[in-house]
Amino acid sequence: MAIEVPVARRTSLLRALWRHRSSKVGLILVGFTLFVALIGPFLVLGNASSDPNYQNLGQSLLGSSGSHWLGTDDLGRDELVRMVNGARYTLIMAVAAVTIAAVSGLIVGAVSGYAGGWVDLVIQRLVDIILSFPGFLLALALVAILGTGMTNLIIAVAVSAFPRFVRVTRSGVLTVMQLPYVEAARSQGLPPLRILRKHVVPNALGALIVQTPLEIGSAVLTGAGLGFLGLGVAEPTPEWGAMLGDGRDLLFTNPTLVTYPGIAIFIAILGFNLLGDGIRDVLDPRHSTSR
Amino acid sequence: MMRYTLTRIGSVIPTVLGAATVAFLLLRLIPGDPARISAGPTATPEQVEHLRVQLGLDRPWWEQYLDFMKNLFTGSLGTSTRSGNSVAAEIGTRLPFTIQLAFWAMLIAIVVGCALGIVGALYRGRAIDFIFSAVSVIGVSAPVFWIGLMMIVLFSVKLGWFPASGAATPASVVLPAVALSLFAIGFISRQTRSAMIDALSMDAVRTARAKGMSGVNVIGKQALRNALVPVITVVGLQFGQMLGGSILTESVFGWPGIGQLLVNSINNRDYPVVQGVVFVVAVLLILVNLATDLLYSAIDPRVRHGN
Repeated sequence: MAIEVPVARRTSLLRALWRHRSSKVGLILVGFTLFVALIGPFLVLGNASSDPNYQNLGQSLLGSSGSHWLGTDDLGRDELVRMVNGARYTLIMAVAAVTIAAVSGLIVGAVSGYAGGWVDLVIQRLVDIILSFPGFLLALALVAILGTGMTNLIIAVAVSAFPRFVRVTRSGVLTVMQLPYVEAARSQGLPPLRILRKHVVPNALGALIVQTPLEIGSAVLTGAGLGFLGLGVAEPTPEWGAMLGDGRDLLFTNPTLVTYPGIAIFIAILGFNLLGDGIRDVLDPRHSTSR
Repeated sequence: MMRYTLTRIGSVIPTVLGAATVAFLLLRLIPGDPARISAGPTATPEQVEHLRVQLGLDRPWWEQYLDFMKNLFTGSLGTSTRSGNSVAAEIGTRLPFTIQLAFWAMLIAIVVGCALGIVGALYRGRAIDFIFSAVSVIGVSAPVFWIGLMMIVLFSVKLGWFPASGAATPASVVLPAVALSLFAIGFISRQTRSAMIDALSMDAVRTARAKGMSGVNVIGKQALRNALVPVITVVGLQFGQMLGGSILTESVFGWPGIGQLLVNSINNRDYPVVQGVVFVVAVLLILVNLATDLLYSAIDPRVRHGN
């Protein structure tokens, strides 16, 4: 499946996505999450509790009120402030991990598809081995070994997403390689790296572009899952998964401490999934899910 | 057929050996001294040394590796540093619970997912198709640990229909299985829907309709049979997702499977158990993928000739 994205069409891609029903909702949800991550922490400034880690034990486990819109947690920290600050950790983690996975997957996949032969064979066997572990299990095992913290979390999530990018790039490259203009470039004796960089990779990118938002959604899910198990970023960072995991002990008395971070994670993942579906439909109508 | 089957079975061997190597490497990738970290902050130097010998870390790495692989062939996965039990035995008592959970979740996902997908395809573009598509995208987007906790609040605390945790009664499996199935329902229903749409536009189906075969017959005999072929692959792919998801589901519902064993072992820094679970899950997934591929090639001859 090679999907071409010529330069002239890039601006109209956004317009096409906005016209597409599900990706419009996706754009809105992703835009909202981005907005909260960028601007949100400044909007909730103003009182002492605008520090996400400001504790006030006299004010613990309050319900919704004018001063604490979503109430407070067991340490008297403002739930809304923590959620708004948490958006950054989740997005930075997911975007960084997927960027690393996509760039390294692109390079390895392109080399594998272009070189063929034993290079391709060795790379594909290694990818098979990584894929023989469920993605979440692999990320979990890596965090368990490397230790918790943002950097290790990004590495773990990136490693589990990496093989899928290799596969997607490789199959894109294999398709493009059969096209006449690549053969023409080869027969003219252009150096392989130049052919790869100028002709093959730009035209094999389509599949990668489709894959990326879906992988970001999946990275949010993995990161939040690890946070939920207490293996994400260290306390007291207001990461959504970790907040949900903390709130779990108070599930029967204060279910909102689980509900709100869960909704935040859900909205972010839903947004990226809808956006990914939309991009796939717009770029490759054969796989349309909505029409 | 025979040749494809044998080649495909043969291709499993390097992957299993690779998975074993990854499991071996896990302990060696620990930054710092694995024995020191595994023993915990309060351990005496003697305890650390004892653990180092027990984990085999006092010997050269290639000797450790050969030993590790040799033990795998005899079915030994080492000894838990926490309980002193054999890792194989610990996994053996937990694995049936995980398989039971995954079985029910998969069954629910296949039945509900296929039903949603088929109905969506038949009523393509109508309100019911839109609703089912929305359900499927929500299914793949809602984190299982969140939905699971919400289900506990609603069905255990408020309504009291099902136990919130553990595996004491047969009803205990209901909530975790449903929670775990949601992602796969979303995934399977989308694939079924698009496969069904393709199948409905096939010449054979159109001919059958033109010949006056009734709707039920056409859908049941022609379209469905063709539509379900790609769905088999999806079910195979979803199994891996499910094994990953069961780690979180077991943690939410206190289900005593290998997912919970893994999380407990990570928290106890019981690395032989972590390695064992990682390896066993990988082997399970490799075998399911093998079964899926063989089943697929038995149904669709193009696969074995294409490769």
